[in-house]
Amino acid sequence: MFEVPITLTNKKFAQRRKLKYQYINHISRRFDRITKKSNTTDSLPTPENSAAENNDDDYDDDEEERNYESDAGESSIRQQTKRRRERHWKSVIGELYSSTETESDSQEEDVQEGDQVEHETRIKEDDTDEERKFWKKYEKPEKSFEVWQTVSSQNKSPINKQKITYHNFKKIEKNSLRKMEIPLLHCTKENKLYFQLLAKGLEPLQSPTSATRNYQTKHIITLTNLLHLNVSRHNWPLAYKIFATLIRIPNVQIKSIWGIGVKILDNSPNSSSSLDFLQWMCQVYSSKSRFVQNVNYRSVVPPFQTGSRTHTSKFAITYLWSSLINCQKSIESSNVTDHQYDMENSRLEKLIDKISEWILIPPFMEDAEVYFIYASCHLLKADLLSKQFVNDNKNNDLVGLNKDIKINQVIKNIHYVKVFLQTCLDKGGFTIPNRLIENQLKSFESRLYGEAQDIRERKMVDDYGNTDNSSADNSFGDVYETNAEFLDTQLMDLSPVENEMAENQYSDEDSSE
Amino acid sequence: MSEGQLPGWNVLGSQLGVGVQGASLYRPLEHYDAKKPQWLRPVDDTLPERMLDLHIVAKSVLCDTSVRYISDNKILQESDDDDDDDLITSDLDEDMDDAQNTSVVLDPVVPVVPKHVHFFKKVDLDNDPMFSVNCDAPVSLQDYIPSDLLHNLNGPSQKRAGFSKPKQDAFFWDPTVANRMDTEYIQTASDLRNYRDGTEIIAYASGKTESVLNIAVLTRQQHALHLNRHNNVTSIELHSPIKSIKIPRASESIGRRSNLVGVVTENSFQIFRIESVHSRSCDVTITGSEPLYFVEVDDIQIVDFAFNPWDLQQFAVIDIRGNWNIGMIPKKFDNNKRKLQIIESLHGTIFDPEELSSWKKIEWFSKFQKILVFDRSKMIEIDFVNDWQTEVVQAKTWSSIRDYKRIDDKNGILLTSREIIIIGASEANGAVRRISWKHDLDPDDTTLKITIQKVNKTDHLLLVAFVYSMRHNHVYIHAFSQNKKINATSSLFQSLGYSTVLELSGGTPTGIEVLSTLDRINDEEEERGNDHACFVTDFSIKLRKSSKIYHYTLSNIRTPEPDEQEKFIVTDPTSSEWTLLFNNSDSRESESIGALIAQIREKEREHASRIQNLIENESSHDEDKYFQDLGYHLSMATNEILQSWQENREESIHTGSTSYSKLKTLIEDSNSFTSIPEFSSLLDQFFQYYEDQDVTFIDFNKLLRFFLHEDVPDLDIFYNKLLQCWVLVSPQAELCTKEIVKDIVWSLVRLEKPSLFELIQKEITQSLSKPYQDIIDSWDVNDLNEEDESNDFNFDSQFSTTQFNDRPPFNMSSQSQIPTIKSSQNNGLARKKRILKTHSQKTTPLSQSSQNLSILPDSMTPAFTLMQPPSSQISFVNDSQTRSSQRAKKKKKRIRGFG
Repeated sequence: MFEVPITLTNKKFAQRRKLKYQYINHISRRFDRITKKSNTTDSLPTPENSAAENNDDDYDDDEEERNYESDAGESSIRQQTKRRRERHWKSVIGELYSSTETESDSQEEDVQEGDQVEHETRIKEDDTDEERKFWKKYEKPEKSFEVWQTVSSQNKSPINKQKITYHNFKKIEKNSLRKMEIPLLHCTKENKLYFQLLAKGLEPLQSPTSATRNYQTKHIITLTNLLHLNVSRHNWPLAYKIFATLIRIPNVQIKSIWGIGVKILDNSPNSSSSLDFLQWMCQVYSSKSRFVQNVNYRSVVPPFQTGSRTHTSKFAITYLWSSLINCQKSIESSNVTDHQYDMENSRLEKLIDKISEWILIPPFMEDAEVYFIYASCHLLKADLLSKQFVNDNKNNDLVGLNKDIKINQVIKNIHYVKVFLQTCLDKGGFTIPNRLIENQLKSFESRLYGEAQDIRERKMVDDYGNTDNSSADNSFGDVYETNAEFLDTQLMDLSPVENEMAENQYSDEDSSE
Repeated sequence: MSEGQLPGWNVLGSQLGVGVQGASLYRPLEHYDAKKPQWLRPVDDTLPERMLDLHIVAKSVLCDTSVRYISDNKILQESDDDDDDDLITSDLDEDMDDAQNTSVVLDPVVPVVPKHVHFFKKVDLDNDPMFSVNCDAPVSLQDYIPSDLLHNLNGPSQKRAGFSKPKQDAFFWDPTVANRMDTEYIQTASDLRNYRDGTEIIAYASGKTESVLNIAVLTRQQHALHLNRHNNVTSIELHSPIKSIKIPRASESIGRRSNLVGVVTENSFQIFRIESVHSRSCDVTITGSEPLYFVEVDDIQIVDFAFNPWDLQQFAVIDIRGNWNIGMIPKKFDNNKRKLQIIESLHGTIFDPEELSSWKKIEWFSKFQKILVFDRSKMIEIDFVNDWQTEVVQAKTWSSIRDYKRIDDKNGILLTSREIIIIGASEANGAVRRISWKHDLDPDDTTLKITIQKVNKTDHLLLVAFVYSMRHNHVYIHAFSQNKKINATSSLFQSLGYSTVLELSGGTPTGIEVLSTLDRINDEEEERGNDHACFVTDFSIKLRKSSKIYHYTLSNIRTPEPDEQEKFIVTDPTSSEWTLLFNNSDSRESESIGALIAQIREKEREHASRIQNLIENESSHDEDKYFQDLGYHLSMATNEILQSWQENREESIHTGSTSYSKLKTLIEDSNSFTSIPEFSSLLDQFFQYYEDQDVTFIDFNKLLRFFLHEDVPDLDIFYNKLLQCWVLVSPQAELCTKEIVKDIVWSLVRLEKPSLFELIQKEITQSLSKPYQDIIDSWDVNDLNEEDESNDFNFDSQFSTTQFNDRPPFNMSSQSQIPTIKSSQNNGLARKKRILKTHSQKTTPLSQSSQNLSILPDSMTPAFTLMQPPSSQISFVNDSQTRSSQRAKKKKKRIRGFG
């Protein structure tokens, strides 16, 4: 019933796939030819045209294949298979020991990619692996299971009005089915039936999981089902046990069930264990190798399971988000003056440090979402800091130099938010409620100012020393007007200086508070 | 960017799944005073945690497709009491009988043979489905019964029963059969005029070939939905198997509901219009269009159709190859204007030669000229007025499209093999992916389908998605919420963050064919219960291979009555085989299963008490003493058995009772100890000692290899490995593992004395002819095991001696021992090596053992010395024996040295 965290392959299914893709490839080749023919016949008949048409007989297929065979020399095929095997093993190793993967390894992959391009033409001729041939035609998305695009003027095309007629389809089908007769001779009766029904447009009712006879597989299937059922019934202790059992079975890919693990650990009494688990996932499974489009990833589906140099893995993102949200929640629950508060605050600091390190390396470097998380961290920080001004908790620290420092910190954080939001926007592809965040930043600033105003007034009344006021005036007097609109623009003037700071080492600044 | 927008990837929106966090937004502003800064997350956390814990409140049979409902209203209206009604009343459906016993239901399996059954010599049945459809010829009223069925009925039915078992589940299914049942609200012309909200109707296919279209009015009583009280069902014979039935939902903006029913049969597409519904008799007046035969369109079978939600007179059809057409429905199905018109200019194709499946889908999108066309690997948005198309989704690689349902004028829900995705219309009215939920259902299951139920609450709209499959009868439920408070105009969907699985009991557990929901008009739930988390939802369902249509009402309101969930036994949900097996099994089998379960329970209880004992024992037990005793008893018992073998040798061999023994049978109370390393060392010493006396033990270390699939040098290591695996499974893992290890050891270890078999071996070998002897000899030679060779040699020498003496060596052990001098020497050599080896391996684990362990080997010696006498008898013959015993002593010392 549920997705099984292992790859089920056996000879039977391999054969089925092979038959299917062989047929599909042939039928689409046939279809292309027919559409081409109909296009060319629109023009006036020329000697070349008619010659081509003559060639376009049924025999022409066989000829084509003969050509392939003669072209691709024996040695090149051997080379090809060798290289493929090599790559396969490498990918196997890469999957298992992705954490130990070094730069050199990925560089090798690069070289291979270069090779790949070089030998592209040769691979095309190699028609032994039909499935590969089919997969090569399509882009393999990393972020989602399907390729999605929004309607825009570029990708609008006129409606395809050239209907496929019954006659044409039958023609294509007949030819392709004839082509399939030979491969069908060599397969089992069951697979033959399978193919014939598939070609008729029916769909298989049974899947590999329902037909399995292997005890271990059966065991895994049962466990997976129980796991999902118990998670959906909120039966956490039992789900935990099942999960613990399941991940100890060899061949079970933890990458495909990590989400459930997180959910279970979230509900376990030990609150931070899910974060630890996610961190472990990030350490062990974050691959920095390049995603190779040419490989048929039958066992690993990238969107939720892996990362690559260009794609941040989902568990890494989840790790960042949940640690940020956890931070915020625990800060919220703890009191400002508490010792606890400082600890939580330092946790936030640590998270910020961690992200600042992460964004130096490939998948995160180019990921807009990571920058957005980074900005959110600073947003949270700015909020926390600026709150001290509003809380008017008679905090005596908020005078003089201390106050200046605090204000500076807030400004700095606000600035970081802007910088990272900007980088996030520059990376593109990520939608942010810009306006909303800007409004929030403004309100943070106005908190400083409003409070400063208040303090000033109060101090006037209380007849405090003038020094504090003057210091506030000196630094921010003209900068901060009551009008929130001004705050924003003024901040922009400050930015070059801040930028320099950011470029140098802001983390030092942060830690020096 | 509006406020109610989540941050996220432009094209992909939020991608969620169990335990997955999506991009969130920190919102300190508005909740500042509440001291609760909040996150705007893709998971709606304003709703309570266990909101989706739905359980079945009510379940009723809506109708039975195998029953032909016939009602005679006229009679009923004239004479209200139905005493004079001499027709047979049905007892099939208690619900309907409860409602009122006025209706007449003709049972199709009346015991009396109807008079229009004729006997034919032979009936030719063409198996080719293309020719079985004979649309023009009216189906005669004759019932055909295959002659061999009649024959079998007469013949010995018992014999036949074995063959008529239900065949294996179908291998394939036909994706052109979409749904043969639909429920929906309709509004007829008179409803509109009288401002009536509408009538709930059901349309379903019935009949032997599913060729009868039935339309009936439903009534609602509290939570349950029933057929109208007269069981008044209008049936129309379409002369061709029905593939799909659909009642359109019109757009909310046009302010009325549709009154159409579309039907695709094997050879045509036809639309029926419900002209009027009699309010009392529930009589439905229907007019129908002329069937639009596939031959008139493209000559290819139509698989799906859709109605324009903004224009009740427009429809779209798509055939199995992906050709689509837009057509018009005439305003009135009059005599001369009953034809459905295909608009010539509005057509196109999404044909993809790579797409083998004939599953296709067509649905209107956000505007009246926009349609979405699907095949398994593509979703294409088409604007047929402005003449453009765009491939919005290409699902060629990791997933494929399973189903799509329209939610409202802006949104739709797409089910792929891996996710549930809400698709919304962007500002430019293009299709955009909003939010997705990874459902973790089997991606190879091609039969997945989705149905949506909208639940309107005061502050939010809940979209409950039911995902079902033909492969099992579990309904996967997930819900999305749309908060009305945040921003009414924005389409911010949030997921509930988890999903539930509802198990439907009853019926044959083969899967769900159709699940259909009704759009509620008036939500009485809204006023009821201030608790905004409570909701009630319902659906009608038809299981595969079951003729009944059930209506279920679900609720998440906690009720005091026992939880429904617990009643369902969790069976293996994927393979219906098991449940099928249970269902097919006769009473004897189920009894034995019951007995098995009882046995398991018994074992469990035993186990519990044993564990209890163990826990108690562990502290009180004097281990050292125990091991000492154990060693002593063991050696005594072994000596005894050796003695007895020696004495009864003759008859035991000839009677065939083998002379090997399990260690377990030798002693009682063999399990009351806890230290595995101690036990292991005891066994080692035991083995060594007796191997010197020509007793062979099964090398259980080698056998242990089969448990773990790796080499296990030591029992202790074996134990630790097992413990590693099981420690998380149970808090008592340590105890259990120990018990299991002990069990394994005791049941594995056997001892035998090879010299006892020499006689019989000789006899057998001699009785064999020469070639066989050769084979056996060469067998021994081929085996390169050192010990075996030595044994082999040993046997040979034995033969020679026995032949020499011409006297069977049975009397005294000493006599039989004589030839073993050689063997023991040989063995000694071989063993020497082995001992050295094992010692070198053993040093590391044993040296780690605690101090008090070292006392044991010393204290054990008396046990062995007691048993020394029989061997000492022969010790004068061979000095090797003494040497080996010395070695044993040495070894003991060595062990002490470890401590």
